[in-house]
Amino acid sequence: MLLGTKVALNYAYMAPELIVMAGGILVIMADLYIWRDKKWPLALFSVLILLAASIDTLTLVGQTGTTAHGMLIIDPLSLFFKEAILFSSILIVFLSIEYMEQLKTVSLGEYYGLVLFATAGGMYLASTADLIMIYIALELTSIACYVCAGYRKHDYKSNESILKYFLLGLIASAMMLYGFSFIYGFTGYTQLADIAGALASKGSTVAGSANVAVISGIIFALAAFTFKVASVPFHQWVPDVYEGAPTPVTAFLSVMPKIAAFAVLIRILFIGFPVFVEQWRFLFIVLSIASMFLGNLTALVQTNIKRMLGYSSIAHAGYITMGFAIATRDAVSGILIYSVVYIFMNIGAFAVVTALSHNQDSDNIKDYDGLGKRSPFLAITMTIFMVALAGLPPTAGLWGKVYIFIAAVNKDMWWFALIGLINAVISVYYYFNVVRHMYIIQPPEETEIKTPRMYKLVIWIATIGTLVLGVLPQSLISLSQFVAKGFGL
Amino acid sequence: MTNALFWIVSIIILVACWRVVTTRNLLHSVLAAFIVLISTAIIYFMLNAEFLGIAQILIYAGAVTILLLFVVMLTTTGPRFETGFENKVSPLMYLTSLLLFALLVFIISNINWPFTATIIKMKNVTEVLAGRIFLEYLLPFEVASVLLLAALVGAVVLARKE
Repeated sequence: MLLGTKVALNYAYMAPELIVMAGGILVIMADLYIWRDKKWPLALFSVLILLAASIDTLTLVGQTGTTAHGMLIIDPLSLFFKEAILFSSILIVFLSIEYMEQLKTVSLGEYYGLVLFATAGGMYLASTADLIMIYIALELTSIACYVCAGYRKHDYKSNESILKYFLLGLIASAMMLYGFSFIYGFTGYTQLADIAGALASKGSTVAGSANVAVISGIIFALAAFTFKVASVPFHQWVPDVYEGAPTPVTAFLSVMPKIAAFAVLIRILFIGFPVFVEQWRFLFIVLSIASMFLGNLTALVQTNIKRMLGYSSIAHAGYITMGFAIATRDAVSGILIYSVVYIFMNIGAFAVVTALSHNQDSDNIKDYDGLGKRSPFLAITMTIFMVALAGLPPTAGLWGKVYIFIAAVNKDMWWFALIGLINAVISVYYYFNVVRHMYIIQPPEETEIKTPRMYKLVIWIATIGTLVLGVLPQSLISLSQFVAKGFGL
Repeated sequence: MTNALFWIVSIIILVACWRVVTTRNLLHSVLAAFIVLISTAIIYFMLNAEFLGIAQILIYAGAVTILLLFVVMLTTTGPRFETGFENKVSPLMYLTSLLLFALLVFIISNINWPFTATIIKMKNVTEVLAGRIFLEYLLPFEVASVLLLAALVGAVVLARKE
């Protein structure tokens, strides 16, 4: 019966991910045979692969369609997130060059290979609407990230970091699969569009049963996604993992898996389960408010900057999930704007942290005392990123929050915007605490801090991105409104 | 008949699972896990999923258990393969687990599942599975191989001496 059946594969659609995955294998082999532990060729080759993939993604702009039996979707949303993911990975590779040199790891090629595998997983997540593919892509991203988090093998904290991340990640994956099994068991489909169709047709006949099965499935699956985006209630791993992981990896973890998870959440919620919007809206309202308050209030008392940025990233996950609770098209475009802005400001902040830890082997906020005198460049750029993370003008951080809050007000959820605003005000305190340490407190010693060139490159890119998008947000806003077309209720 | 078998196998699975997490001897723990995996395979056979059952026995009960035994024997120090971990469970944990269990029983028993065992039995599951994997799910199948490669590379990286 099945003999002779052919799978229609559109290789042009599949090419970007294939380039990245093949590139990952090539980097590992190049480390073995050609460039044994050579830092420049391996890193530049990885950047080249990522650039090739992002150029290849650009050639698909304007096309929409699916391939491999609907496993891979090419539409504005997937292209938008793929570019964002590739861009953040390029920044992370640049950020890793000097750091890995200092770490003296013997598995340099494997590091870049794993970063590329994780990137490919993120790209698949951004462009699929099938439960099985979502699971495989999420695991590809996660497993590569687990290993990267453990690269500082001699450091006890890094060992703790990878073990916690790995074990809790496994539980999250198991919960997601369990939730998917409810959804599949009830509807008999794995494609989100088919599931939505089945729910619409079954809704009238077995309504009560459909509610119980599918809603519990959604809850289990969402629990796993809250692990990935680091929001309440599965946020406990964040501070320990962020503190223990190598700083460039922390920057990677805080951005790439997060935005990939937001991309897939947009598809799951708006394509798969628009029927249950009232139920998941309630869930996201609770999660978002809890994440914002917990993240911001706990960040206030942190003394380690990586832990503080970890809690702040929980709070940012809260602001972004507000968009899902609002669930209008404007809110979806707000999520997109926030994701892009978040790449610049968060990677920028972590780049400054990495650059500083290059000179001294600790990441306490105290170490930033008098940074304004010791390294004016790091101090001024860190100030810009802190202002952006707090959501103040003239930086891009403003627009991320403004568009989500406006969407809340338009949906008559002004109280929700108010809670977000209160949280933004709370966050100003701890972000400006860092600025206070840099400019007002006198340093114990006034030695100048030298910043290696590659850190400067990443910090410059992030600074320019944060400021340019802050002053001229028009193109990003209209792009995100175009991409959000078709999503939102 | 089938119903009785199902209950017997289920009880064996539950008891073995309980032993996996409570015994202090790691070898016993692995053997209990072996029983869980074999019993799960029996449930697959009862549902007519013979391919899944055989794969479960070959891969999980066979390969993975042996691998685990090797890990235990090569890494545990001391004569009796006992763990040094304290395995204290607080009452709150029991309460949470019980609540979750009650919730799941409530949810599952309240669902009017459209696919019953009798419907599944009418299908030639292995043929359907083959068609699904190599046609519809070709891309996830291929990406899964990259996933395994990433896991393999990761394991080497972490185990390597520096």
